Amino acid sequence: MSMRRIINNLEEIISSFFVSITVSLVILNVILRYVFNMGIYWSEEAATISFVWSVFIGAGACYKKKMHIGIDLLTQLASVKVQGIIHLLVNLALVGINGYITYLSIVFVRASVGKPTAVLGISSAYMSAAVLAGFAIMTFHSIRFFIAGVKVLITGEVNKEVEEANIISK
Amino acid sequence: MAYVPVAIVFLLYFSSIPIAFALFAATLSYFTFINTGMPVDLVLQRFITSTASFPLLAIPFFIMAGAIMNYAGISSKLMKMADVLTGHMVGGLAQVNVVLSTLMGGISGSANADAAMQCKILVPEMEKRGFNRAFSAAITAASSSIAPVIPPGINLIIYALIANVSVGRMFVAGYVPGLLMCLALMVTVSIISNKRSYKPSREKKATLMEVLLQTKESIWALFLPFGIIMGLRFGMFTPTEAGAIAVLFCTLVGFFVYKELKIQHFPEILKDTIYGTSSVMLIIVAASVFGYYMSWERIPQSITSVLLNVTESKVMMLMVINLLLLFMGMFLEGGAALIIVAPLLVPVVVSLGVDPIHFGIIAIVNIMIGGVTPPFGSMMFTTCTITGVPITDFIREVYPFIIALLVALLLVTYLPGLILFLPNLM
Amino acid sequence: GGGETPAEAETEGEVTTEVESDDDYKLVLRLSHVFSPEEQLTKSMDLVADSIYEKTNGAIEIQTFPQGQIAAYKDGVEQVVRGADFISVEDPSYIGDYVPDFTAMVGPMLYDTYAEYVAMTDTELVADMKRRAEEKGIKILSLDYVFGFRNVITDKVIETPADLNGVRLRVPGSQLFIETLNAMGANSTPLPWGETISAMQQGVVDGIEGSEFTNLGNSIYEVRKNVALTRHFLGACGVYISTDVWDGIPAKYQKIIQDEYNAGAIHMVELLTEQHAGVVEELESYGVQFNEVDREAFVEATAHIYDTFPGLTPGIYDLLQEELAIIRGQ
Ligand code: NA
Ligand code: NA
Repeated sequence: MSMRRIINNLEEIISSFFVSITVSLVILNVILRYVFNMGIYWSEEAATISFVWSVFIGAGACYKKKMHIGIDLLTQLASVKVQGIIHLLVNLALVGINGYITYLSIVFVRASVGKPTAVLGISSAYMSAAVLAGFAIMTFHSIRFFIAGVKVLITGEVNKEVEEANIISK
Repeated sequence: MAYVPVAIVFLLYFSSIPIAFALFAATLSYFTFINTGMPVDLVLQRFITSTASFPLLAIPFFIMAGAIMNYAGISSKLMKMADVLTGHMVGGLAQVNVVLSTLMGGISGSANADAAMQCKILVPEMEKRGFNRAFSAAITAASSSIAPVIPPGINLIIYALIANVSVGRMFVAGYVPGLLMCLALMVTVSIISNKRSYKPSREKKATLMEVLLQTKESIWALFLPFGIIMGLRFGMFTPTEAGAIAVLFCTLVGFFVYKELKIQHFPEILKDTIYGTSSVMLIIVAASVFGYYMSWERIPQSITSVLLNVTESKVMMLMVINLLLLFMGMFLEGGAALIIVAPLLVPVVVSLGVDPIHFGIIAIVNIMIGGVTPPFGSMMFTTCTITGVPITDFIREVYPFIIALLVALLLVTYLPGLILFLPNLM
Repeated sequence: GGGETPAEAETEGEVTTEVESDDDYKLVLRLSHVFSPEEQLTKSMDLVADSIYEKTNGAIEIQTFPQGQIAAYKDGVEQVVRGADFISVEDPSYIGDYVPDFTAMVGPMLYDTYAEYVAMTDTELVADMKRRAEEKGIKILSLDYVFGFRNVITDKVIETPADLNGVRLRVPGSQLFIETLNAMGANSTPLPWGETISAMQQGVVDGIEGSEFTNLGNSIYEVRKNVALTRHFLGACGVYISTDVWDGIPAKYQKIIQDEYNAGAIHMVELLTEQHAGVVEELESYGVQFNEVDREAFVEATAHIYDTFPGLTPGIYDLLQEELAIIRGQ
C-alpha cells in the first residue's frame, strides 16, 4: 500500500486494528472456556478498551466521510447562495463543538492519569485518551470543511462545491 | 433555564448539524453556562462509560457478521431460498422482497443496510418484470423495517441495555412481531398485485423436492440465526459472545463451505464494520451524554409525571406513546430515536404494569415504521436516493404498506401474549 | 452552583459565611449511588437527605439519584476529588484508588459481625486513613452503611477452597473481587450485573457471590439453591464529599449534615440486623440451604492478597488484626 493511501485511510486502519483485537479476544475467551475450562479474567476489560479506541477513531473516519446522521431538508429549501452561508456557519459551529470537546479531553485525560481501571489496574488515561484522539481528528476535519466552505463563497458557487462543504453527505 | 438545552438540540439539528453533535453542544452548554457545580470536563466520564460496556460489543460483531455474509455468498443463497418459497405467488418478486428482508433479519439488524442492498439487487430486477419503480422502492423500504425486529438486531441490544432487561430474552421476543410484519406486508402485496396483475417470478410453485434441495444449499446461511438462539438458550455464551461466534462462523462458512470469501475482502469488511459501528456508537454516546444533563435536571421524572397526568389507563397510555414514538421515528434515525426516548418512557409504562420487554418491541416496531414514513424517514431517504424515485411518488405507493405495518403494530401493542410467550419459555 | 474554583472556596469560605446571614446560604448537592429504589440504602439516603433539608431550613438540599443515574463507582469518587457539588456513596474500596489502605480495611475475611466493622471504622488506624483521604480532597462523612456479608451462592455445596475448583463465579469487575474469589479457589468471571441472572440460568456461570438481601431481592433463589456462608466480604458503603465543598459549608450546617449521616448509618445497621433473620427464613422457605464453611482454610487462602495487592502499607494486615483482637477482647 502506498504511503499516501495509508495516510488517507489512517483512521480506518487504526480503528479496524482495534476492532479486530476486540473480536479476537472475545472469540479466544469463549474457546478457552469450552476447550480448557478457563477464561482470561482481563479479556473483557481489554476488549472493551480496544472497542473504545475503535469507536472514537472510527468516529473520526465517519466524520471524514460525512457519515454522521443528520437532516438538511430545511436548509435545502434555501437558495444555493444561502446554503453556502449555512454550510459555512454549520462548519464553524462544528469547529467550535469539536475543538471544545478536544480541549475538555485534554483536561480530563490529565486528571484521570492516576485513576486505575477496575480490572487491570492500569491508568484510565489509556482509555480516555481515545476520546481526545477521536475529537482531535474530528476538529481537524471540521477545520478542513470550514476552509472548503470559505473557498466556495470566495470562488463563486457551483452546486458540486456546495456539496463539498455540506456536512450531511448524499 | 433547565429546558434551554432541549431547544438548542432542535435548533442545531434543523440547521443540519448531525444529531450527535447537536446533543453534545446542548449538553456542554448546560454544564458550561447553566449548571456550574461540576468541572465541565467531567462530562467526559459519560463519553467513556457509555462506550466501555461489554454488552455493546455485540454491535460491531453483528455488523461484521453481516458484512462477511455479503462477501461470503450467504446473502445470495438466502435470495434463492426466498424465491423458491414465494416466487410463485402473485407479485412474485415483491413477495421475495418481503421474505428476503425477513430472512436477512435473522442475520443482520440494520434496516438501512437491508434497504440499500435490496435497492441494488432486487429493484432493477423488479422493474424488468413490469413492477412500477416507485412501488418497488416502497416495498423495499417498508419490508426493510422487519430486519431490525427479527433477532439479532442492534436496536434489540440497545433497548435491552437501556431498560436493563436480558438481551437474550429481548432477542427471542422479536420473532413473532417480525413474522407478523412480514405477513401483513405479504397480504398487502398480494392485494395490490392482484389489482395491477403483477406476475409471479416463477412459473409454478416449487416442488417439495426443489424446496428441500434449496434448503440444503442454503442450510449454512439458515443455520446461523438458529445456532445463535440455541447457543444463548443452552448457555454456550452470552449475547455479546454470540456476536463474536457469528463472526467466526460466517468466516469459516465463507472460506471452507461456499469458498467465496477471500482474505482480500477483509479490508472492506472491516471498513463496513467500523463505519457502521462508530456512527451508531457516537449517537449512543451523545444521547447518553444528553441523558446525563436530563438526569441532572430530573427531567425524566417530570416527563413521567406529566404523562401519568394525561392518563392512567394502560390502553390509552400505550396509544399516546405510540403516537409520540411514530412522530419521533419520522424525524430521527431509528437507533437515535430509541436511544433518546426509551429511558424516558420505560419508567412510565412499567409503573402502569407493562412488561419492559413487550414495550421494547412496541417501541422498536414503531420507530421502524417511522423510518418508512415521510417527511424524514431514513429508509425512505435511502431507497429514494438509490433508486432515484421522487419522494412524492414514493409516498403514493408506500401508504398501503404503512397501514399494514400499523395494523401489525396494533396487534403487537394490545396482544402482549404474542410477544411474551417465547421469552417466557426461556 | 458553588465549587467553580476550589481554591476560592477554600480562602473565601470562612469570610463569606461569617458575613452573610445564614438565611441566604443555599447549597444543592447531588448524591449518587447504584442501589435500586427498593433497597434499604436508597431509603436511608432519602431519609437522611429529607432530614438535613428540614433541619437546615432548606439551606442544604441533597438531591438523591439511585441506580447510578448520574456518576457512579470510580466516576462518583472522581467527582468528589475534583470538587463538584456532589456526594458519592460507594464501597470504601473505591477510596482505595486514592488511599489504598481502605481496600485493606474492607479486604477479604476480616470481620465476623457488623459490629466489628463499625468498631474498626472508629479506630485510630482508620482515623489516620481518613486524614490521608482528606489530603487527597475526600472528606469521609461515614463508612458505616453496612448492608450485609457476601456469601457464595451456587448449587454445589461449598465447604473448602478445593470445592470451588473449576466453579465459574460471577464477580463485579473489580480487581479486589477477582483476586479474592480466585484465591478462594473459584474461576472469577467478571460480568455486568444486567447479564448475571440470565448467565446463571443458562449456565454461562455456575454461581454468584452476594448477600442474602441481594439473593432475595433479585430472586436468585429461583436458580441457585445453596448458600455457603463464606462471609468473604462485608458489604458496606461510605459517604464522601469534596473537602473544598465541605469547607465552604457553614459550621452549623456541617454539624447537622455530619450528625444526620451518623444517625442514618446506625439506623440502617439496626434495621438490617433485624431484617436479616427474616430474610434467611424466607429464603429457606423457598428451599435455599445454608452451610457453614471451613473459614480458617479460606482465611489462609486469601491472606496473601494483603501482601500482593498494589499500594497497601506493608504490614497493614497485622495492624488490622491487632485492632480486631482489641475489638473482640472488649
Ligand atoms: Na425487502
Ligand atoms: Na435482525
